Amino acid sequence: MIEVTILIPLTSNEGEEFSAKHHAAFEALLARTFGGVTRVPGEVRGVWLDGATRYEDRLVLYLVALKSLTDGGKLKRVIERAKRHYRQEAIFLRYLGMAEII
Amino acid sequence: MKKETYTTTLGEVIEYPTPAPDVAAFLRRCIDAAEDPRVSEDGLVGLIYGAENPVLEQGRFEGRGAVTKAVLANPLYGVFLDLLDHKRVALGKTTVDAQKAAYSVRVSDAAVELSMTPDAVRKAIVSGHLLALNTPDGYRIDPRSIADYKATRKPRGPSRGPALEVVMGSAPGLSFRAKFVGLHVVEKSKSGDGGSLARAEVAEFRKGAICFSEKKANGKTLNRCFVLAPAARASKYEHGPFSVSGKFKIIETENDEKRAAQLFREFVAE
Repeated sequence: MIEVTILIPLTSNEGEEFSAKHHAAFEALLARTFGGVTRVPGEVRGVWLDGATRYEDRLVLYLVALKSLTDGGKLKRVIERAKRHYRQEAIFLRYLGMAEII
Repeated sequence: MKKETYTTTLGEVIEYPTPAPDVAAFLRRCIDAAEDPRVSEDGLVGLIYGAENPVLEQGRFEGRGAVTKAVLANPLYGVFLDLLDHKRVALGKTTVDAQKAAYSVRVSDAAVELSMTPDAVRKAIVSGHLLALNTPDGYRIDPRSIADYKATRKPRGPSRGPALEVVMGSAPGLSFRAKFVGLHVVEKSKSGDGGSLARAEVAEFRKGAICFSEKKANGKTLNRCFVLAPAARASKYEHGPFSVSGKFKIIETENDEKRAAQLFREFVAE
């Protein structure tokens, strides 16, 4: 099993807080895709620079387990949905000791 | 079965069967933690997603409970999630009005935007495809979920036809054969000159082959084999009464009599 941590923002780029319902929909997608998901306590703070604009993110961590690397396609589809769902240009992932921004 | 109710931060009512004593006790702990100003949001997350929650599946992640399809179907899961919203409002990280403001689109407007009936929109809400708040004035939908739903919905409309249509068979001095995975003969007929005609369809393919053979007046035999692959544009190849039409391109041609026969004989369709 390969554990993947997906960092999800608590607010949109316009500063609107995402509700529990909003996060529930994403959790449901992760649960249906990977069989199960959990949330890790803690909040991560990130800074993004887009040209001259600086965005500060507060992010929460979801943990899923991939059966093997061949599940990478499923992860890619979930990340594309996450970008639309949370109105993000990119999503931060951690797995196998590495970090990736997709 | 006795039921309990819980009113969410945004005013929706969740009904759930009276839980077993251990679940009821854990729920009480979570409610108390949500209302206790000394408990942080992190603390509540740790409790709800932790190893003690009897509603979540245990054992999938070390030291943590997992949300699975079975957990999603349990209305208590919605209660736990709402307790996190309750905590964030209590800590001043958000407000009820700010959360409610996200749900702004009426069912009738969503139906127009999605080219669906209002009933279909309500079904999409109930099935979780659209995020909505159930208010006394009816559902109010999050416009972001409408955009998301549009992007993931499969287009409706008439089903696409087969990838290829093939007319094959034999006539005096002429034969036309085809090799495709899933080649499906829809009609067969015999012609007056002893020949036969079969009309067939190929639903989809990656690689196929056609081979025609013609006995020339000079006694020589013309054998030709073509290997076909899918293409963006429609094409048609005809030879006498036989043909293949659809979106294909010819990726290999063999005009030598013996090699064409061998290519077709040994060809494995994909």
